[in-house]
Amino acid sequence: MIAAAAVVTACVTFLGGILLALLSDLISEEVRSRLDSLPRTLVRLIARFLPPTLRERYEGDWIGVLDEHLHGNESRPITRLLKGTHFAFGLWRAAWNVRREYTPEKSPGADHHRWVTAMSLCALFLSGVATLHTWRSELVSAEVMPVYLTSVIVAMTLGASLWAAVLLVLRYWVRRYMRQEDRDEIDLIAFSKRGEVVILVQTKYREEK
Amino acid sequence: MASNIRVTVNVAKVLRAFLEDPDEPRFGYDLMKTTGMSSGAMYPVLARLEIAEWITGSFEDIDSKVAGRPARRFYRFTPEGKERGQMALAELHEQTRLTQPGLLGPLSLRPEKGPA
Repeated sequence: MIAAAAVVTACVTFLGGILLALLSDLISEEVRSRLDSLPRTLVRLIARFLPPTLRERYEGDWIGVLDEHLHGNESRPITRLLKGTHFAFGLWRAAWNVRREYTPEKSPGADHHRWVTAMSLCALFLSGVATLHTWRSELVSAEVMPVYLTSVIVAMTLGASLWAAVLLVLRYWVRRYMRQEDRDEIDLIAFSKRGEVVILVQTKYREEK
Repeated sequence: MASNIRVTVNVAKVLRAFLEDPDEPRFGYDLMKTTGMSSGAMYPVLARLEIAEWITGSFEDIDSKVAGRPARRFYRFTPEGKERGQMALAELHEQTRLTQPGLLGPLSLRPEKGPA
């Protein structure tokens, strides 16, 4: 009886070992293919940032290069994953810049929404800090707090709009100055006459006609 | 007709890679290796050169299933682009050429003259 049990245990262990070996192969194969598909998915996602007319072309191009990264000489799974992901994340910047290259003639202020958004977020943060400070210092009683908060939101919206308008005018002026100096394609640090205001402006490439 | 472009350092790197063998179509991966540029820096330059019609890109004509890999996009000089690329690099070289020997001081790459 004991001998039979030992034989059965040995058989089960043997079969289990084979099954485990097969499964580990399958699992590692599965993981490997999944790891390879991650950078591909990233590349496809990033290509979505391009205009529809360019999307297919660049996606095909990038997938071709990515394939070379994934199946090059150093074709170990983790190395492939790292190199592929690094390449894909680099394309994030490429997609924005390629898009900009193909749409150089934007109307002045066409991307002003970024400025408005940035300023709105800034105003939101500052008003949040101010509200928190007021709350904690108990300058405003709990009864009038809703009115206070509403007035803060209204003031914040008006303030952000005003800031955006001022910055748009300022930005227009800076861009005009840059055109005269032909200093496109650089990050310009512009100073006011008294050297107080510093503005970082990312300009876009402009073809010389 | 090809238009002029501003030749930045990155543009010059890519042009030099193309001009090493001007008639050879170049694959993005090889260009990255040759120039040492990242994908984020190189593709905008390629786009700029393509828009200016200095280079043109096309996918290779292969069956992906048979080849076991996706088709690659190769870039090559247009006839006018080749000419303009050579001129642009020559101009850049002329502009950056040192007029006085030893201007870089200790950084100079000029080998010191020793006994013959």
